[in-house]
Parts: sequence; C-alpha cells; structure tokens
Amino acid sequence: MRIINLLIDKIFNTDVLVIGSGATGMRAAIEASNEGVVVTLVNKGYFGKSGSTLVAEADIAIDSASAVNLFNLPGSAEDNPELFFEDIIIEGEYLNNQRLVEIHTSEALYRLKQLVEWGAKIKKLMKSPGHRYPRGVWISGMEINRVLKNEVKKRNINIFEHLMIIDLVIDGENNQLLGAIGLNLVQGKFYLLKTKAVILCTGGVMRLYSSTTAPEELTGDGLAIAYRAGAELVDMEFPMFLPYTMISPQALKGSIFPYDLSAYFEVEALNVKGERYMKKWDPERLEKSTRDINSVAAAIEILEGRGTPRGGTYLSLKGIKDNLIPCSKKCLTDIQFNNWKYGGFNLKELLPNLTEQVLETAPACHFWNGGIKIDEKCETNIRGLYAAGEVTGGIHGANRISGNAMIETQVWGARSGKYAALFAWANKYTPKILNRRVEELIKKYLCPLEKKEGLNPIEVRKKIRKIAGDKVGIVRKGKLLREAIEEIDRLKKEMQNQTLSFKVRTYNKEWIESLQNLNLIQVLEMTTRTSLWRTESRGALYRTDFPKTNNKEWLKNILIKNIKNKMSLNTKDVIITTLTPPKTIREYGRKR
Amino acid sequence: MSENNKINVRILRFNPQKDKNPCFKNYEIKYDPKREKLSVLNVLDYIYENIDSSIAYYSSCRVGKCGGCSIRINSKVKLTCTTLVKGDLILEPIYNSNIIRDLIVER
Repeated sequence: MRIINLLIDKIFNTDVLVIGSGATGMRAAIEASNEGVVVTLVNKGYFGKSGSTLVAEADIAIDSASAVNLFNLPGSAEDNPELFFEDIIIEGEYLNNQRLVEIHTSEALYRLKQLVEWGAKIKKLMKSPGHRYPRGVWISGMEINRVLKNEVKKRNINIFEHLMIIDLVIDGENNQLLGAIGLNLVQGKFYLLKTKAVILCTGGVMRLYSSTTAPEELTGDGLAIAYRAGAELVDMEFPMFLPYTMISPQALKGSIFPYDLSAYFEVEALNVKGERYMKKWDPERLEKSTRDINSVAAAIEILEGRGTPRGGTYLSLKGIKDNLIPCSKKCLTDIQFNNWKYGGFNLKELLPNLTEQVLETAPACHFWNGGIKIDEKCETNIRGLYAAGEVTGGIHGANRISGNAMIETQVWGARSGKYAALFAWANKYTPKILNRRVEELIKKYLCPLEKKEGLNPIEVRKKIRKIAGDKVGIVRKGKLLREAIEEIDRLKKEMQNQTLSFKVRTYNKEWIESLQNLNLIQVLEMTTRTSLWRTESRGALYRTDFPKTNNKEWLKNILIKNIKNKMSLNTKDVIITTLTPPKTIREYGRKR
Repeated sequence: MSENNKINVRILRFNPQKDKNPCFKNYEIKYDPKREKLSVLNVLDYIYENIDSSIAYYSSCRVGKCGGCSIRINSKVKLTCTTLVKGDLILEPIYNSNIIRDLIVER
C-alpha cells in the first residue's frame, strides 16, 4: 500500500464509470443516473468540447414511416423497421450481428423521440446512400451535444475533464472488472477509479491515419484498453473511409465539404484522364453509391497512377456551378453559400474560385466499423465491462450506412447505461485492487518521463501512421500486410523506450502522445492481422490479391483476443436471425 | 509584415511551476501566405513537431466546431483551427489568469 500511495495521487469511488463524453457517453451516463446509481463521466478533452459527435454532419436514421408519424416529416409510409434492418444488413455485407441490428432498428425511433423531447431541433429529412427510403432525420452534432449536455447537467453526475483512462484493472481469476487508472493530463496526476461497472464510449481510432475527418482524441484508447484487459473484439479489419474530403489547402485538409456537395448535388468524380471511374464499380448509383465503394474506387485510381498530382481524384462541380448559390436552400448542412462559409471556414479566402473549380479530393478515415464485441445488454466477456457506440463492433458489419452512427449513440448509449446500472445494483463484489499490478502499470506510463534515451513520441506516431497509410490503407494486399506485421513487431519493441524531450508533467503533449501511441499500434496490429486473415474483399476492406466477395467461405466474423500477451484470432459464423445471405462469390461493388 | 517568405510567431509561454511570469518566445517560420494557406493551428502543429515540442496548446475537432482551441490571436479571441495565417502572429492564452501552461487555461 505504501508504494501505491506514492504513485497514485487520488482514489475515487463510483458505481458506474463512463469513459468518453460524446453522444454515446453522455446518453449512457444519463440512463445510468436515471437508475439511481453513482455515475462518473470522464473525458480526455474539455467536457463538451471534444469527441466525434461535434463534427457529425448528423443525419440520425430511423425508419421512414416513423419519421412521418412522429415528426410529420416527408418520409414514406411504406417503410418500417424491418426494411431498415434489411438495408443495414445488405449494405453491411451480411457481417452484422442481426440480433443487435433488430434491437437497433426497433428502438431507434424511441431514442430519437426522446432526444427531440429534450429539445433537439430537427431541420429536415434526407435520403442517404444505402437507404431505400429517406430516413436521415437531420440534427447537427453540435445540437445533439448541446441537448445531451443539458440533460447531463440536470443530473447528479460527476464529471472529470482531461482524464485519460490508460488501463482497466481486472481481477483475472474471476474475470471481473475492478476499476480504472487515469491520468489527469492537466495536472499530470494519476487517479485510481474504483468502480463496479465501466462503460467504454471512446469511439474509434481514425487518428491512426494522417488523413481523417475525426477529432484528435480518436486514438483508439477504448479499443486498446479493452484488448489489454482481455475483452474480445470483432470486425477490426473494417476501418471506414469517407470519400471526397479536401486534401488542399492544408488548413482545410480532411474537411468533408466536397462529400457534402456530393450528397446534395450532381457531381462527377473524375480521374486525371477525366474518366468518371465510378461507372466501373456501381454504374447505376455512381457517386451516390455507398461510401466504402466510392473510397475503394478512388484509392484504386490513385494507386494505379490515374490520380491527381497531390494524390487524389477530382470532384467536378460543373453540374452545379451555375446554380450553386440558389441551391443552398436545399442544403441541410452548415454550408452557407450566401456568405461563402463552411463551418468556421471562410471559403472566400480558402477557395476563391469555387464555382469554376474542380476540387481535388481523397478519402479520409471517418469511422471504425468494428470494435469491442458486445451482447444485447452491451456487456463484454468481462464481468462489469460494458461498451457502446463506435467503440463496439457488430451493428454495422463490413460497412456503415449514413445516419447509423448517430442513432447508434442513442440506442446503445441508453442500453449500456441501463444494464451497467442494473449490474452495479446487483453487484456485491467489493473491488480489491491488486497493489502490484497498479504500481507496475503506472511505472510503465511514467517511463518516458524518466528515460534519457529512446524514441521521441512524435516520431513514433509518424512511423505508426506511415505503416497504416502505406500498407494498411483502403486497398490492401497480403504482401504489404505481412511487411506491415514485421514493421509493427519491430516498432513495438523500439517503442518500449519512448522518451520525452521535455520532462514536465502538466499538459505535456509528447507524454500524451507516448500513451496514445501504445493504443494506436495495438489497434493497427489488430487491423493488419485481421485484414491478412480475411482472404476476400468486402465492404470497407478491399484486397487486390482477393478482389471478390466470397459468401461461400467468408460469412464469418474475425474475433481477436489477448491471450497471455499474444494476439489470437478466431473466426465464427455470422449471427443470422431473419435475413439469410446469398451463398455466392461475386465481384466487389454494387450490392443489390 | 513578412519578409523573405518568413513570418515571426510570438507565443506567450508560461509554466506556473517554474516561471515567475509569462514570457514571449519567438519562432521564425518559413511561410508564404500567397502560395500556401495555413491555419494558426497548422503553424502551432509545425512548431510542436519541428521546433519546440514543449509548447502546450489544445485542439480537438480542427473544423471550427468544438471551440476548444480558442486563444488570443493578434489580441483577438479566435479559433486557431479556422483562422488563416496572413502574416506575423502574436499568440496568447484566452485569459491571463488560470494558465495551466502556455496557451492552456482552466475554464
């Protein structure tokens, strides 16, 4: 106990610890608090000023008939939750856990109704790629954030900002969660949080790639924490890329502005020869095809030398240039054409010739389809460990369709909060934290502050991103994946000696990166190994050496688990309830 | 204003645990605003990655939505991510009080 007190600065008790305060985390905290347990919500950044929710140009998907009935929106009465279910499975290429998707589509309307009752303002209804009917109820991510923040503040929920959870504490013998260790980034102090249940709501790991639409916190912390604790993960070979993001000017890099244009207007994606390359992949839907196919198509154009000088493809706005300004009324996003602003960016300065221009665009990492394996109650294979939202796998299969990220936050946030709270009520287990284990972990995280020689965390992050970008990108192949595994193994060893050039504890960006790097490389290894294992192309995974979608052999999910510090992979047949997949082998591309 | 495609970036640095008072530190960056378009955040990232990694600043969404990166840029409170760099910069934390380190304040 003596040694622990030297390293742990604060000990805190709670019933339910929610990690991550985007829409999922806040929804989980609200629901758990409603059940009358002590809830603590922690966040790596400023509360309400971080996480993916804020940047979501958010359509929230519910079945179109409910959009008519509940909100009087111009949807279609022909739609129902079953058809919504079917579209998710078909566009997810049948890898989805159908039991989870049934819950998802049947609870979606109630969760959205709740959000509106709390004051969320609906703008319009939109039809997005992959949906047969207009299902996207449009509420901006900032609005969702505002409404949920209000509800969190009404309740007696403890909030810790700038607290990065770096590991969970598990009783391995009983497979039971005991608590979590966090680092307060601002103070540089270690917290031990003793809790009956944890809900991981930390989102994806899009920051593994240098081109991404995601905020900076998204470094896969929850995925890696869960993995190290012994949780099972699923579908990790399917990072999702969004087509048509800005690659230049640098200030706008990763902006989804061109994608927004592609969603609302007639645009043409062209290679450097001026060919409309989507004709090869999805001749009917073209640029309005799903995002996985658009991204793969663009990546192949670039890879085969038909890309632009900056390494992208062109998005021609010719079809809309004459009427771009009058058209702005049709737009649901925050493109304000009248004063040429997009979000906070002044397009007058950044893209002075917008209406005449073609934009140079490329896909950027946008979402993580796979993640922690959960059951209907959001429980993992560790007692007391729950997960919800983007950090989980199973809802989206091999490709997520638009609108499902935001409704996922609400349906699964609420469910996880409820069941974690019920677990905390029933759980008599008194957390007894093993001294030595915590001490060892903290010592490891302090290492970069003490070591005199070793790799700088900025360099390590660059190396990780280079492997990810060059060898585990949108389009993959066996040879490169095998090389990537070797490079990852080497880097993992080198990374044991990360050192900081400046040894201060308070908000030391290098130190934060050194901790994030441990998570990034762990997830990169998962994605590389699973991508190599899956010898076919499907949804967000395209392999040039196995370009077909093989339903005869690959209607399987790949599961990953940490067994005695070894990454072990396993396949399991997909979970089917009502929609039986066709047992065919077919070309990658159009799914219907 | 800028000369020879270079700009001066003056950043108010302060580590309350060590320093008595905040103090400006000067960084010279190669940059031609006529040819490139960088945000203030791009410049901070450049300094952090290439010149001085001890600098503390906050950023999250990078698209003008979270508001977390607001500081004083040439005396005006602005977001670093959406403010374009057009010449020399003076960067200070959003308030003079409650500085945690450099450009990060308690709020």
